[in-house]
Amino acid sequence: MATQTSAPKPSTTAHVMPARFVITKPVRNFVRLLFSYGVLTFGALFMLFPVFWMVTSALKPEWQIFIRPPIWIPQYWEKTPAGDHVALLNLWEAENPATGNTEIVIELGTRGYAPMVPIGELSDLYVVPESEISSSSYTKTINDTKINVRKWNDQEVAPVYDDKRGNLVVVLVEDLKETVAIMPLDTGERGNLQIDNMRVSTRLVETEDGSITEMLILFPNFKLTTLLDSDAAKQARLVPASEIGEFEVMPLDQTKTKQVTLNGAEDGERYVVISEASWRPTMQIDYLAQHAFTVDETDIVLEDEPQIFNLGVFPVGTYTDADGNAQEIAVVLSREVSEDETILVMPIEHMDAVELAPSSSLLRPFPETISHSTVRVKDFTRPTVREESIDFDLLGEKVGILGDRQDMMLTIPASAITTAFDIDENHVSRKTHIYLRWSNFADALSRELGGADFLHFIRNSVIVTTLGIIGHLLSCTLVAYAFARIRAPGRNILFALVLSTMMLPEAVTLIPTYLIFRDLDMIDTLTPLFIRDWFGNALLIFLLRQFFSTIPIELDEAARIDGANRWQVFTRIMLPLITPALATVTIFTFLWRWNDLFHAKIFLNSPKNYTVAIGLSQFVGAYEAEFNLLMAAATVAMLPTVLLFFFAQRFFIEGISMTGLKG
Amino acid sequence: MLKISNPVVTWKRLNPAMRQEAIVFYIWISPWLFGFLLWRAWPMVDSLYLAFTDYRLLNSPNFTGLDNIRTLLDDEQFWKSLRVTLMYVVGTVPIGTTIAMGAAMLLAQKLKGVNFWRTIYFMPSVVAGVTVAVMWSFIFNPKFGLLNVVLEWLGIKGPAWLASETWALPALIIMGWWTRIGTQMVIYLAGIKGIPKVLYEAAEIDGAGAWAKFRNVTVPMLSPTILFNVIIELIAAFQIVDPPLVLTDGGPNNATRLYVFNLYETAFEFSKMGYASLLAWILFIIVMILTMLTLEISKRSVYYETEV
Repeated sequence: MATQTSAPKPSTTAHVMPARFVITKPVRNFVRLLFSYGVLTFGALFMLFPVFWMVTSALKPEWQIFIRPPIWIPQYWEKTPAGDHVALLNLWEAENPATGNTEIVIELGTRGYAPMVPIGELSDLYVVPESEISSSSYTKTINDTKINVRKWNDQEVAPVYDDKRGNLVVVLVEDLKETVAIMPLDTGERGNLQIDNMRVSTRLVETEDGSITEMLILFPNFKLTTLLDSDAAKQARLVPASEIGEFEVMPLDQTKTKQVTLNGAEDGERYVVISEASWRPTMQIDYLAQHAFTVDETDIVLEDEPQIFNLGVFPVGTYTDADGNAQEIAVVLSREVSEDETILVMPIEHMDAVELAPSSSLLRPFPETISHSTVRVKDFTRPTVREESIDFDLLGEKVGILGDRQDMMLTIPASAITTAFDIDENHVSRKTHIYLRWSNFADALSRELGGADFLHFIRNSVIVTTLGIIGHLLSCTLVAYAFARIRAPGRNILFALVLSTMMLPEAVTLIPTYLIFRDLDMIDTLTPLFIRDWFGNALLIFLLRQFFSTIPIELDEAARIDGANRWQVFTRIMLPLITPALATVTIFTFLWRWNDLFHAKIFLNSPKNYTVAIGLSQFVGAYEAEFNLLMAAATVAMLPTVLLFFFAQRFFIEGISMTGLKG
Repeated sequence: MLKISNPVVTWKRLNPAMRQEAIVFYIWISPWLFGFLLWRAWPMVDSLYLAFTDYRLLNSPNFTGLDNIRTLLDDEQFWKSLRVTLMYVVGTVPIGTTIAMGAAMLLAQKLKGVNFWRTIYFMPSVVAGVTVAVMWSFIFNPKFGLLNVVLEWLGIKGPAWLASETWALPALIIMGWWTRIGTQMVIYLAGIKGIPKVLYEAAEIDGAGAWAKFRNVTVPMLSPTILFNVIIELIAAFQIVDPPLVLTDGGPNNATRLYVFNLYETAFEFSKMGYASLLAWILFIIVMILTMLTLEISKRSVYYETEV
């Protein structure tokens, strides 16, 4: 319902009340509800978001942790094998303007465009302080060309340059007329125009009659991406840069692509270059260790021409051992590449195990000695950094990095490009699907910290928690029942004492407590973390006593008359009646013991005795940048408490409402 | 069974049956009694004694009179930790309790899904301090933390948070709100539900608007709950230790040296058990004074209902 005020109208008759702005009750209620839900939602986002972010981060591969803009839901960027399966191409989604269908495509290249106008056609260029010009711009279509336009003293102007110090160079929109057109930014030669201290860049374009026209660049600039149906990726090939013959930049549709011919290819077939990158040959390390051996330079005779094994280029030759046996070998680490100037060779029949991997995936290798040579080894058993961007059979293995880096080009035959189309780059989106990386949890749980892993910490926490709960249940119920039902001198004073210890800061007893445990030789055992629970807890005794007090005393008396002794009354009648309270005791003890970092920090020294809380705190330093694993560990630490909370919320709320127990 | 109008009984007036019952009482409460003596009474006395010694774990304690107190007065780290803790308490408690009360007031209306909202707001309270610290440290991370990304969208260059001397404590305070709002809200909700409806009806008849009802009915009726919450929160906030323990180690430049963290380090990293005992007793005294002060101040403004 609208709540607009209307201007009070002069009353025509004297006895009519003057019109007054009144908010009716339904409106007020509606506004109040809207406000309430709004504020509550905002607060709920604050409460939920950190947990959401932690849990989703726990399910991401490492690279998605660092990427900007942030990825909210863990996702997989879909890829398609490029022909020979060594390389992968990103898949994108875009609407084909020709068919109107959304297609799954690969990217061939991009090209920048802008509206341009010949300078000669303009009456003048104006330097305008930004303050004199409207701050908002809008789009105007002139000659089928969209142009960003702003207002300057009622005139429409199009900015061509911004010196970022408060001055703009503009042209009058009325000058543009038919001469403005969209042109690629790489048209012609680059030029520039000096206006005051500003250099406005231009393009010098050759016209049909051979003269040069200087073009001024207007806004907006935009990029067109050439996309190709993803099926064409099957025809892609990874080609060594050395095989490239001549190349030229050729326009393809509206987009410029790099087209090449290959040495030895028939009839000058042209290929479009999709990407250029450096690759390295690799081999599974155990296989390498089994078959490769270090040789003296004098024992090998190399052939002139290197040989290619699975796209990897290696010098080949003959090795003759001390007994005079000769065998064909390939040099997998040459003296120049090897760190300790040794030569590592491998019998030619085993060279099929070579796999090419992109150099960008082989960062942070570690050295390992094979035969007498040092081989740099990349561990893919726990691939973390952008491991999705590589696809080769050795993923999940440790691989040795061999040979020299090789520049490779990923190409597609120009003849395969039949369905390409151009589209504004903003209308292209990655083809993704939700992908939850559950293996992070396995990685986090098995990560070792001083000889113990996270599963071990969980086991310790379970022990502490269970023994704490049993201790509290036994001791607190007994004590609380006695305070509620058994009469004795001093009872009230003692109960006052119970209450007074509820607010006692723990710190004040901490040091002597530590000394007691030290004298009992219990430091660095789990005992100090739960043993005090066997002596009761003031808050819980108070809570249970309140519960016992609500049970009618007639129940006890009736049972006593029937011959039950006090113990039987307690176990058979009272305890069953206060099960909800027992649940509260169990839950809170669980929470306190599971979450207890401070005492674990004080009483435990060795990782084998760590509980989840202290283990997690130690992981903060140990994980460094592996936030996905750290978040996985934190999620594991949080999970039991949150699950318990959802299943037993009632008892939490009851306990808190009655005593102010805190989680 | 005999009914005694006056529950206070003394040993002399007991008949044998009652005496036996009294013995049974003491047997039943013996776990607590023994625990009280061992884990409360003795440590209190012992730490009071240690506070005036030079005990450093390896030597036997020597009584040094007021030496520790003299050291304390010149201990810049102590004063810094006290200042930091006070700022932390002032930053968390009043704002946290206000937000919690606001949320409870909203939820006390006839809204849909009160349980749903309550669940969301309460859930952070069950998350461990160490998990909270780990979780938020990722959000506060200066390079790839989400908070600075959001700030960047708004055109603000975010600080280094936990690595910044100025912003580390505010970061801890935000974490403090996050964990402590839920519990307080539940207590407020219980308090609000306990306010008799007739009071509101009466106020409405008197022509009270929403604000007047809040001011004259809700606040006075809720004042014992507010007091309770504030005391609990003050005591809790003074003893927060997990975030510096997990994340900052009291830094940078002691900006997050919360009191109990300082105590922990003094006692268990530098083994100054005697001096740390003094710190513990100072904390005890501060907490007691704060509690009494809160009670005293609120005597004037807290309305306790006389009839239940």
